[in-house]
Amino acid sequence: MGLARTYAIGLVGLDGHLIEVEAHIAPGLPGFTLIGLPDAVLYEARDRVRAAVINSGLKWPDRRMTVSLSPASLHKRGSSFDLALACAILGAGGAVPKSALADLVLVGELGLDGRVRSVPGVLPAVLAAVRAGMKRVVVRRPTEPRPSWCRMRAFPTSAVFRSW
Amino acid sequence: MAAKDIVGRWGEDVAARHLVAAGLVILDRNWRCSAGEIDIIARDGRTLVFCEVKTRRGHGYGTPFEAVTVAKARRQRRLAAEWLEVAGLSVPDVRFDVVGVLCPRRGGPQVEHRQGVI
Repeated sequence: MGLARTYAIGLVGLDGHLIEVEAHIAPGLPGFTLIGLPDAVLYEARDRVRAAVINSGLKWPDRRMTVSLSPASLHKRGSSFDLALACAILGAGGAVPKSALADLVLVGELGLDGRVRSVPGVLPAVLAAVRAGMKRVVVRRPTEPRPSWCRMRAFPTSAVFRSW
Repeated sequence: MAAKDIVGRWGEDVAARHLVAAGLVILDRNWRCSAGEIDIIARDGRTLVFCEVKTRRGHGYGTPFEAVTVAKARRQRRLAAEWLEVAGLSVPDVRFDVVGVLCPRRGGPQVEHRQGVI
């Protein structure tokens, strides 16, 4: 039972928008509602995130969960929200400290086994995070070296749940 | 009687005892009509409670609460309307609860009562 909040980036072409990801766990029957104009791929995140959390050895909350992507009227697409959705839910369920998520931008797709997969458009996403004033971004461990102009404090990761 | 029915019946007895211990008054059990069955109908103060009981012997097929799907929840509401009509009652407050009963191979049953979930 609880509420947690973290951030993701929604890409529209090459323009990134900072998206607030809020998760609420309420008493009730198990269920996972995702609102805030997700496209089909993003909607499927419900199944990816569930499997990723369970296969990382963590408890999937057996409650009524609502995740909201804000601004709600902006169309959101793709799988790069997976990591933020998973962490917001884990925060709301108390498995991850809420304070650790509150100023974090998370970008990554999840495998069913809990691996973090890279997504296209990490650079414009990180750029959008910087422009929005965010200081910490979690991305998939890059296969290529980071461009020297990118002065972000980066947190490369391959399996975020295990690093906590 | 099939094994699953015996387990289900036992779970309903456990759930009924749990509700009584929690201060509810049981009005009816296993009420049937053509649309289906309501496991327990009880009174909690001024509130009429329609209760679905789900019993599981393990987590192999998910938690008891996961077994209550959207379709089953909808049917509960229809059945409740029918019960109210047959009983000729008009009550101000109605609530839909689910009681999950887990009976592990060792140890006593674990009962969880979730109120107002449907």
